[in-house]
Amino acid sequence: MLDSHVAARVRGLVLVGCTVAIATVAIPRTSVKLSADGAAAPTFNSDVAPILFEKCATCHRPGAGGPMSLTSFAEVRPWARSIKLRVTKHEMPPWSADSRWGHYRNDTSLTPKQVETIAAWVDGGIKEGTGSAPAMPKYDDGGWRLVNGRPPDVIIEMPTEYELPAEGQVPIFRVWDNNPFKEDVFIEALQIRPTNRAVTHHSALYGRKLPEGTTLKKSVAWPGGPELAYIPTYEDGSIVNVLSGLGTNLSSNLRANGAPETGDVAARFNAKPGDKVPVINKTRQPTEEDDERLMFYLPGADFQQFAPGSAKRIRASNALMWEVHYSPDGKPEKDRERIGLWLAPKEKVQKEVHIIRNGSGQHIIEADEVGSTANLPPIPPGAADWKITAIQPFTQDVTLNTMQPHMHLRGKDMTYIAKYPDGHEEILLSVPKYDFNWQNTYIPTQPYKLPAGTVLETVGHYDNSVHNRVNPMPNRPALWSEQTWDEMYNAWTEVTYDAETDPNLTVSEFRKAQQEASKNNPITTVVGCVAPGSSPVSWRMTSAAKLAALPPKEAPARPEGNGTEGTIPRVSHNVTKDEKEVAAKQAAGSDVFELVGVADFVSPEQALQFDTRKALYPVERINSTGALAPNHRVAAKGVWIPGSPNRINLTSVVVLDESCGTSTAVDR
Amino acid sequence: MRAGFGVAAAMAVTVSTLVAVHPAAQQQQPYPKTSTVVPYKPATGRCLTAEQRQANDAYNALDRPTRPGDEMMFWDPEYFVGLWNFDMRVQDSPLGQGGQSVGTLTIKSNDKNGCLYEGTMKGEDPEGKPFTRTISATYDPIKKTLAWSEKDSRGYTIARTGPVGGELGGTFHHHFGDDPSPLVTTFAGKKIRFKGVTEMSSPAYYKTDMQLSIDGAPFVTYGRVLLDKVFEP
Repeated sequence: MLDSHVAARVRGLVLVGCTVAIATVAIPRTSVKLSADGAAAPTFNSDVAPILFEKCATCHRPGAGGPMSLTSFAEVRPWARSIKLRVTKHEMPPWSADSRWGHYRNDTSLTPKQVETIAAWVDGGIKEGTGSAPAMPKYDDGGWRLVNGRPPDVIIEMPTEYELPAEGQVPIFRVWDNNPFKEDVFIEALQIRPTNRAVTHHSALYGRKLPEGTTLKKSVAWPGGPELAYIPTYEDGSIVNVLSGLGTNLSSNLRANGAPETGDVAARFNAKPGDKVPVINKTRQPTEEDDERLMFYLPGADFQQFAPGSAKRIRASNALMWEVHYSPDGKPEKDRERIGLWLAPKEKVQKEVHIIRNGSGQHIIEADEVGSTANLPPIPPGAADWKITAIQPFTQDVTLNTMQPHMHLRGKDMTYIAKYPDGHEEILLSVPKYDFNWQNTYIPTQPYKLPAGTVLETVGHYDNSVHNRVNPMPNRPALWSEQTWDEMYNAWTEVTYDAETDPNLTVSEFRKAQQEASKNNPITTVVGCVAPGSSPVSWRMTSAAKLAALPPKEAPARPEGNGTEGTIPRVSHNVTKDEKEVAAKQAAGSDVFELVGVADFVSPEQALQFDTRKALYPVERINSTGALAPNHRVAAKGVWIPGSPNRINLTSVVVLDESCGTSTAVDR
Repeated sequence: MRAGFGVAAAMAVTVSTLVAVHPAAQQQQPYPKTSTVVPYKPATGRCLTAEQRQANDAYNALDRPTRPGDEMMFWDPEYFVGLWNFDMRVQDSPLGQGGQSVGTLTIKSNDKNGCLYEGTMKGEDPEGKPFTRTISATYDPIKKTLAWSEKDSRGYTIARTGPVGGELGGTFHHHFGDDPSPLVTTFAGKKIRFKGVTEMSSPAYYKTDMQLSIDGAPFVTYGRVLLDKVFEP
């Protein structure tokens, strides 16, 4: 299976004797009953060690990243009072999900009883007790986990070590590698381990087609940057390294005068004459089929295991591409990323796992619809509770396997809310105190089933004020880029498509299956007059009709062979400017539609009629637009749910007229 | 008030709420309208050179994302001036019982030397006993090196000398105690060396992680000190 050249390096890194993943360790718990005088204080051996070994030692052991080892009484004793402090304040173990909603199989938090036991042990004199502590779970010296009792099947390291400067800015850059696999393989679990976690903001490994016309050779990684091996390079010496980290693809990043940031690549690097300037998309953007993101390492999230029967795929036709993002910390540092892969037998894989950034196509910011990710405005200096909602419709049945909020230093909180086709809502995950340094991936004990017609939304808040303890620049607007000091709003989800029965489909077969599975629930825009329904979860649209077809526009010229042939056209999830223009001129119809998913489009006060919103936020933190108001004529967009009446689960609502009495455009 | 005004004053925080504006007017506003805004102006002292201050002004006026090759801003030691609450969590050691110590740290700039800062730490140890530390800190703006000394009332001194550097986003680190000259203090018959890093995460918060080595043994984690700025009302 492995290419012989690369396999030598790959196999040479496989560690022997990897140890037990924490999830596989079964440790007996001891019930502790204290007498009133504390005579039966808990002891380390009987009561505390089982807790620490189960919940803490996965990180607090040699080589595992924790600042101190907690694997014996001698190691734990000096830290006992600090441990009590941290666990009673729920600072450790780090787990940010609100326990009122959702159950997660990777939950590391302590139960109230466990916290009580540790506190009583410290208060009772920090006694070791008689006998011996239970055996420590066997951990591998190198820190690789065990999955079903086995270490990674393959460990691959980045082909080059990177040396960081002490100061300044290192752009996100990419180092490629040859694919060691001769045939497609499926991956059931992954673990990325930087050699230097302190400076690794993120890293990721992709399977991606090597750009046509390039070879991997030693070249500058970016203009003015160092020469690194394994950079895709054209014959003329120019490099291809689809770049990010410079705010190029995240938002308008408005200048103070409203002009957008320049798109000039050389300028973005402060390139000097003679610098080799990267070629972006010389041939084409990677398309979905040749762009497999295998794993994303973030502080606090280094391991991922998929549900039985689900797996990621590495196509043999793809190369491997490391994406790395470092933050200088004041002194020169080095790092080399490594990934461990647990291979899944092909015959046991039913579905491929797909990553979705929730709501890339529609956002509500500070109660205004702004559309796609590219339209995000900067967060104003000093804004203490800046609101953002991302909205993602599902046009086919999906199973949601994981959720991972990703913001940077100004992120305060993020909540995932499912808005189901019948109008009811469910909080899937709430992270009320987001922490950049502990970006957990949340794996529901039971994956969530989201039927076609569901809208998944994520609501977040940012604090760009001086009151935020980790905001380095409260006097400046927060712009959008991958750099730690700028901001991101990525609500990652990993899903499998329920209709998928064969994970070995070709790309075109996969696309065809996707279209077939979505045909009953297309994204649709309707126009009409609105009024509250019989319950708070739905509104009624009358004198309504589907939006008329937009006039054809001349397609922009595309270079030949740009790789977009046969792709599914991207459908926006907000009512576009063109759609609004057509809707405004459209005659009143005679249809009736039911609108659900209304909480984001009514007034904040009305949104509080939803138990979900009421449980989460006071009215001033609600991010609803108020576009839905009685007797408004609106264009409403969302996922179509056939029925009687037909229903729309909303992703966008735009007011056409504030009174339906004058709303028939044909009369005007 | 002298030119190098106190940070506490400079950081004075007021709260205002932006009012909703007409949709047409919004289009000309760079920002939407509803979030509470807390104004803030960074502190500026007398230690940096005129050119360095100019570079900082240029950075603060930047209206685009930073780029590789942009000039680094310069860390200003005026950062420390003001009143801070500290929360120190350490392990048992020859320096005393482990656990939590809490108290306040007050730092002032020296009138005669713009790069010299002095202060006092007052707190209670894990057993509730009071202690104080006398602080002296000198910054070399050319070498970008900070020498920080804490003389503890319990009989030892912790010195932290090393470079200050950071990334373009404004988070700075002070690394201390790295080879070749680890800093040594003697207490209770033990030679104790410290090393570690102070991360200045924001104007409102910094933390120091320290390791110690006793009588030449390998360095082990000693603990962490968390400091939160006290803003004037």
